[in-house]
Amino acid sequence: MEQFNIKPIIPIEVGGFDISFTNSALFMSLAVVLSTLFLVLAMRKRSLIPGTMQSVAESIYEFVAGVVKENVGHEGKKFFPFIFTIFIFIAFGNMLGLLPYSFTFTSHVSAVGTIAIIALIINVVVGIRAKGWGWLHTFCPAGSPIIAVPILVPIEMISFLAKPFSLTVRLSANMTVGHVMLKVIAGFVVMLGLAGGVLPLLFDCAIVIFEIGIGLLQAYIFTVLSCIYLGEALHEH
Amino acid sequence: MPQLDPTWFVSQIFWLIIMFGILYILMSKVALPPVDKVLEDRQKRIEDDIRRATELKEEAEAALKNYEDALKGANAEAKKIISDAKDEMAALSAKKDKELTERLAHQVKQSEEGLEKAKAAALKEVKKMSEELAIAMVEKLTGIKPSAKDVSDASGKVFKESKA
Repeated sequence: MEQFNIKPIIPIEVGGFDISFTNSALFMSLAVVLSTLFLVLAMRKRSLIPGTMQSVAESIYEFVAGVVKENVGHEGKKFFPFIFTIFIFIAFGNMLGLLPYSFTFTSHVSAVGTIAIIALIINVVVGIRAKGWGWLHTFCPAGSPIIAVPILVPIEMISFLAKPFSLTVRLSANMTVGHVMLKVIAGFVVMLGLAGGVLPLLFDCAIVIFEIGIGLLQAYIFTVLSCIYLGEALHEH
Repeated sequence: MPQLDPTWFVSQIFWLIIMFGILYILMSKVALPPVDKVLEDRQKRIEDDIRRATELKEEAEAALKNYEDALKGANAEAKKIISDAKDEMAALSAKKDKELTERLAHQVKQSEEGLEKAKAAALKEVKKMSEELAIAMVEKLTGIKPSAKDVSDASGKVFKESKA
């Protein structure tokens, strides 16, 4: 589990809180810088007929735009940058985490949970803006019988709060398991030495490819679910 | 598990909010607008091209229709010219035919007339010669010269009979 350890790089303390710049924060900033650089460099020509890099950037854009349009609808256009940020941030976090000696901040519940809670807060704000007091129907769907209300409201509240929780656990657990597996099998390579280590090495290579898929897939799932919750906040159930 | 260790929670949450915020601003202000613009431009261009193609197609269809109409007109005209020419030729040949027939008929009539005249002249000559012969014979046999009028009457009677 050593690979998941957070180590402070620049210790900072404000008002009794330790907000040191850690290796986790370093990889978050790397994700920010690299994803921005990637998109800006890919789009620098802005040509009508895209080259390889521009095609990739455009595909990601259209992919996320498609997800937003499908799950949120046309009002989703103004939330697109937010959803895109979630997607690219998590995707880059997952990909960076696969590099040897790197740190996977998306395996940390505190980090992923924060993204999920940001998304939740935005959902609430959007929902209240769109529906006003009607937003409270989230916890008590219109037309439910009075007798059911005492049971219904807590259940709805739990399910509402469970959303960011499930998002967090899904992503961080996936990332943790993947990296633990890589590490364990990599350990076999060392243990078996040059002769016997080839098999687990090949297996590790396969898992890396597999993990790339999982990293992108989990970023996609996080994005889709955020979109679905946003859609629910905007529209009637 | 260090992932659940609350020691670094504050730091994690703090830096995540900072980084997420920075990334959001970078994405919405720097990275995404060009992509949006490129895609929009391309969409516009494609739509323009499609529209232009449709227009050109319509133009081509109109031109084809014009051409076909012109061809049809030309065909009709050509047919008309041919039939006119045929009619003209027929009229001309009919006229020539008639002229020729008339001329031939005229010639036949003329030659018949000439023949008739020649026949009459020949008959007259024969009559005259036979009358002279008759006069000469009678004179030689009888010594009396018959009057030309008697002979002429007698021969006239004979010729009339032979003619009949």
